[in-house]
Amino acid sequence: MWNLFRAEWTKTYKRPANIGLLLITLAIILITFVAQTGIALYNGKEDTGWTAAQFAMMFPNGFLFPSIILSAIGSMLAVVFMGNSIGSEYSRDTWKVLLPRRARRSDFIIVKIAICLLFMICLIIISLIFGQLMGLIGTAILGGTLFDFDSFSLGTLLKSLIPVLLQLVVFSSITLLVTMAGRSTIMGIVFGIVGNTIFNLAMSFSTLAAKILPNAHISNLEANWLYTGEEQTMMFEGVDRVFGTHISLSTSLMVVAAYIFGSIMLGILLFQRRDMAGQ
Amino acid sequence: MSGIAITAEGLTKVYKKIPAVNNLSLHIPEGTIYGFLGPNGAGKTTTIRMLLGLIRPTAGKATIFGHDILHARKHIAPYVGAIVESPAFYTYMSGLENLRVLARSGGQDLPQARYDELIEFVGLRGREKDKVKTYSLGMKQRLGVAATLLNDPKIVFLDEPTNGLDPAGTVEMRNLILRMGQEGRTVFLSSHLLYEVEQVCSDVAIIQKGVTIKQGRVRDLLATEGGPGYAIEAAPFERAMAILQELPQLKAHSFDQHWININAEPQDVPNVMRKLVQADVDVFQVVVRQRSLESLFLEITGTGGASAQQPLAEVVVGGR
Repeated sequence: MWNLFRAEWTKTYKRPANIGLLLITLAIILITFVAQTGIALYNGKEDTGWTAAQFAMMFPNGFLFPSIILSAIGSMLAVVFMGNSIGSEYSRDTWKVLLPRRARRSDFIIVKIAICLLFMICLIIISLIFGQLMGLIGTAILGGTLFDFDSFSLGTLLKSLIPVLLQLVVFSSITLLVTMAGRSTIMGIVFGIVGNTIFNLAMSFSTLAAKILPNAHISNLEANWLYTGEEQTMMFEGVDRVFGTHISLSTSLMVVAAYIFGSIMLGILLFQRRDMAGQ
Repeated sequence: MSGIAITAEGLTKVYKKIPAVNNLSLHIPEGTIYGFLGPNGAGKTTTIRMLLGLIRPTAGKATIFGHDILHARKHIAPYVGAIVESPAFYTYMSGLENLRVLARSGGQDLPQARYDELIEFVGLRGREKDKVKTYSLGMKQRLGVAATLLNDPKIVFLDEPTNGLDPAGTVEMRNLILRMGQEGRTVFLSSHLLYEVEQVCSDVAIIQKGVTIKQGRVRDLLATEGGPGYAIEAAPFERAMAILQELPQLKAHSFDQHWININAEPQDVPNVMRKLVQADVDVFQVVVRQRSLESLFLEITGTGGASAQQPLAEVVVGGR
C-alpha cells in the first residue's frame, strides 16, 4: 500500500492541473494582500484603513485572509482535485494498466482519498504560510509592528480550519461517487461545484432539505465545536432557524459521516463491480 | 513447456443481449507465443480484458496458472503483464517516471538497475527522461512493452502491439516479442497482422463472433487445412484446365486465365505433367504453393471476399 501511495503522490505533484490549483490559490492570496497594501498606501497614513491594514497583515493576523479564502473556495478546489484524480484515469484510459497490477481495486480508491486529503492539507499549509509572508511584507511596507506573538494560538488557528476540512471532505467524497458513476471528470466537477450551490439554495428554502443535506449540519458542527458563550448562542440560533428545530451534535455528526462514508463506500462498490471496457 | 498457462471454458461476455465473446475455450501451453486472431469485433480485446480482470465474464470460467481469474487475482497479478489496445501513460511525466509509478502501483519498489535494464531492452536509452507526450507512437509502444515486463511476468498479453507502427517499428516489436518468448515467457499476442503472427507464433486460435473456430499449432493447422499444392502456368489455358478437371482429386481451380492451382502429392506431379504434355499443352512453370496463415484465416473467417481466394504472392514458393 505504501508503494501505491508513493505512486499516487508522484502523479499528484506532477499533474499540471494540481499545480494550477495551487498557483490559483496563491494568486488570489497575493492579490488580496497587494490590494490591501495598495489601498492603504493610496489612502495615506492619516486614514484609519492604514492602521487596520497593518493590524490585519501582521503576525498572526495574516493567517486570517488565507483561511477566509480557503473556506470560500476550499471545497471547490477539493472537488476539482478529486474529479480530476479519478476522472483522468478514465479519460487517459490508464485504469487498464493499473488494475491488472493489483488484486484489490479498492486500494486505488482508498489511496486516492488519502492523497486528496494530504494534497489539501499541504495546500492549506502553503496558503497560510504564503499569506502570512505576504502579510509581513505588506506590514513592512506600511511600517509598524510585524509580530504579536502573544495573540497567536495554534489551537485557534487549527480549529478555524475544521469547517474548511469538513466541507472539502464531504464534497470531495460526493465528487468521487459522481465521477465514478459517470466515468467523467467534468461530470464529477460540475456536480461537486453546482451541488454545493444547489444544496445551499435548497436549505434556505426548505427546512426538510436543510435536515437532509450536509451543509447545515456542517454549520451545526461548527457552532458546537468552534464557538463558546454568546457567539455560540448566536450561531445556534442561526442554525436552528435553518433547520426549523434544534438538531443535536450527534445527529449532525451522523449525517455528515453518512455523506462521507456513504459516498466513499458506494464509490468503491461501484468501482469494484464495474467493467473497465475502455473509453 | 511445463504446463498450461491459460485455460478458458465456456467464457462468455454479453453486452445488452449481444454476445461479444461466446462460449470461448482456450488451452494455452506455458512458454508458447500464442497468436489470437480474429476479424474486427471478434471479441479479442474483450477476451483479454476478461483474462486481466478488467471486465467480468457473463458466464464460463478461466484460469491463469490454475488460478481463477475472478477469485484469485492476488495469485495472478504478480505473474501478468499487459498492453491492452493502445498504450496508456501519464503524458506529463517522463518514460522513467511512468515506469516507476506503474511498478509502485503494483506494490513494487524496483532498483534503478531494473529500470535501466528495461529501458535498454526496449531501446529507449537516452529518451527515458523525456516526457511521454514527446514520444512517437512507436516509442510509446516500446515503453508499453517495458511496462509489461516490470514485474518480470510469466505471461504477457499484447493486444495489437504493432498498431500504428511503421515497418521498422513493426520489425522491432516482432524482435521484442521473440525475445520475450526466448526468455521463457508465455506471450498471448492478439494481432491483425497475420504475417507477423505467422513469423513469431507457434500456436494460434482464430475466433469469430466470439467463438473459437480453429485452435492449434500453426504448422499443424496449415498442414491439415489443405496442405501444400502447386500452381501451374500452361497454355492454352482452357485445354489445360479441362484436362486437370478430369482428375477430381486435384481440385483444379483458377482465379485468372493464367495460373491453375492443384492439390497434389509430389509423386503425382510427373503424371499430371505427362497428361498435359500428351494433350499438346505447353507447361511453362510449376511452383510449390504453400498455404499461409493469412489465406487460412481469410478462408475460414470468410472475411477476405474474392481476395481470400487469390493466390497471394508470398504463398508461391519458388515462383518468378
